[in-house]
Amino acid sequence: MLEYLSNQGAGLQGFALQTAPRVMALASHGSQQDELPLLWELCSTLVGLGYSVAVLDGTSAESEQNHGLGHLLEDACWRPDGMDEPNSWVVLPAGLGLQRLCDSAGSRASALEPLSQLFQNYGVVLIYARVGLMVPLLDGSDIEPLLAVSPQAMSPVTAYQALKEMVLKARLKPTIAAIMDDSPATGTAVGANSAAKKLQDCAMTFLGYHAHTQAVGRQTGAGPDQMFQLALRLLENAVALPRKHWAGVH
Amino acid sequence: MNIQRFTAPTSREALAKARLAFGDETLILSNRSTASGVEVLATAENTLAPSDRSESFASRVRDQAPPLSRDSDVGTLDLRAQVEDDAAQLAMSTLSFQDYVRERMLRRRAEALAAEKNGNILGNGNAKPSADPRPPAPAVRSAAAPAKATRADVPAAIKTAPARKAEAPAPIATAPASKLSEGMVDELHAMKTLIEDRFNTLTWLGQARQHPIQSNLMLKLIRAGYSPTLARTILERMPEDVGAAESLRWVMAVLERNLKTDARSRPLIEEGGVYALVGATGVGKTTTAAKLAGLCAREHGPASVGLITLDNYRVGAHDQLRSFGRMLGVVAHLAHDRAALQDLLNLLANKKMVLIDTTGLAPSDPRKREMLSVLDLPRVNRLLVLNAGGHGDTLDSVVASFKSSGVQQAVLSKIDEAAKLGPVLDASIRHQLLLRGVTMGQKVPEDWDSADAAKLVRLSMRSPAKSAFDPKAADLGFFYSQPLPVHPGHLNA
Repeated sequence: MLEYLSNQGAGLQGFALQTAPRVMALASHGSQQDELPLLWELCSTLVGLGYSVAVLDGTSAESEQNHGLGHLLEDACWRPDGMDEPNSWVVLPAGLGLQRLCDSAGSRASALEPLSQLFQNYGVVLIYARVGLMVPLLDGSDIEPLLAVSPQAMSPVTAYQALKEMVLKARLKPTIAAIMDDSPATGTAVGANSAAKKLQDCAMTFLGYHAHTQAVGRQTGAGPDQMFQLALRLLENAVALPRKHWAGVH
Repeated sequence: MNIQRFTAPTSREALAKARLAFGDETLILSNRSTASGVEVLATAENTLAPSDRSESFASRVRDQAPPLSRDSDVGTLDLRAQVEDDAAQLAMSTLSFQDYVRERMLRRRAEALAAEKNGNILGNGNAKPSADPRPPAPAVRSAAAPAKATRADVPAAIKTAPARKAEAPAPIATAPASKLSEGMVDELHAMKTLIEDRFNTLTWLGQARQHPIQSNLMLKLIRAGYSPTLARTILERMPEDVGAAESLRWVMAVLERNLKTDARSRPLIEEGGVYALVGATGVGKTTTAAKLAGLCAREHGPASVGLITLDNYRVGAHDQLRSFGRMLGVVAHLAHDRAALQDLLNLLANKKMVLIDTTGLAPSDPRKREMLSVLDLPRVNRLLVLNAGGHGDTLDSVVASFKSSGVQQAVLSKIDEAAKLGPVLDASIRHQLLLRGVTMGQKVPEDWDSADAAKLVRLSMRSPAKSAFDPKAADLGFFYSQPLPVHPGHLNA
């Protein structure tokens, strides 16, 4: 009873030490009214599942007033507030930092390699960036990015462009999130499914790619089960960052 | 982007108009009927803005990169570059995720304040602050609101288990009244069986009394928890010329031969596959799943294991499996129905081993059929978890109710808690279960062992402590005072 590790899963502690942060991605194709609520819900669900989340927002750039990934890459000693708190999530502007990772990717096996040192204490690193930045960043990785599509006028068109770019240029396998309004009276649920179906059909016909589609509600907390399943699916398809062993500091 | 609206009495004409305007690269954005005919919204494919603004963004990034370096001075940009920068800034997202998060948090706080105010107005002073299960809000960095890890609440997701309709009891089919003569024949057959059985029992008891070795072995087997049926079946086949010491070894050898294990095939971890752990409540299905997952992860890596739970009934079932999964670096999925399970199995198709944890169900539970039908998928093997400390009748009932076609695979759990292993080994032999492993404690994953027939039989036949439930030699006759049920299965003596 007085053993040091006395809980039932003590034997699994060794495994826990080896688990590395997982990287997942949400590709932006300019449909922020769909993507930002989805990102929020996704982060909330992941935190609810017990993961601490770092969101690297590639759609906004770091500045002297608003430090972000770029500063972390320059000075690993700088820590944003709340970064080390358990079960928390932190949002960092990362446009410049992610671009820098892309630019210097040639010398490394993976463009994401430097992130492993910076986000070791996190369960999930979620990259939110435009497709143009996402493609060189995730090229050749096994990450399956999320792509939001809604019945909005241009959403299926821009989503298809983004999907095509990711499939052809970086061999990525995006998952489609069909955003629904959750009010059956408006008929948008049908619209979202129809838009996602069209996108799926186009991907199959023209790219030979079968995209998995997951319907999710637009309103906060409206579709917890759907979001829950989506989060678990993304976790399953996320790629673990290589764990770096720190050299002793003297 | 140039988007134009074309209206015409028919859609054909409207499309023709659009083609006239944009040529072969016409892209129809929408098509709807109006009071005056059909309205088509179209554009040209080549006028579509590229899906990303990566080039402009990248150039902006390069332009902005120097300020990150502390040593470099901010260079003076020429007017053109400034204009380009401004344009790029405008083209950038108008609302960052940080701003969005901040806005959501403020809105939520306002709602919370309003709710609090309403509560005060209603004079609900007795209302206790409820425990907040919601995840903490993010730490958002920005210039305007510098670095405050503001904690607020996310609306709790209340999950309700789908209401289950109580299954209407099946109408009892009343057999048509049979003829009197047929009834008489049945009665006579039953009486004949009864008399034969009684005489057989008496004959056997007489023989047993004449052979004290058999009597002692019978008592030993029954005290070990084996059923009189199995004990008698074995002892009837015992050679008469065997000595006292040899006879016990012979009986144990028979038990070993008839207890099927996977000793001659690959262990579960090496074999892999999709296994659904089924069984009664509280037998340790989730812990067994965690043990198997842990062993597989240790042998083949965390990426080789998939975890799914169908248990959306027991409170905290998914949380428990998820906790184990997190320790292993394995995601624990939740499936509500057959379609979701199939979907997840497709997702986890590349895993060495997929373990499905299910809701524990009593043999008489009406939900059992529903749950088993969810598992009725190709490639899904059922792994029955049996509590080694269970009563013989209970175990029989469980095995019969979870019986599946083909080889029935089982795991014996809680070996360490069982006072007698006889009942569970007896049930395993009579129902011809294939034992894939045993668990003997709560430690995950250490308390798992392969099923070793010799070891299990030895363990079952060890001299138990005196028990009030043990029969005495004189009581043996009572075991045969009632006709014994006939069980299927062949004994390899």
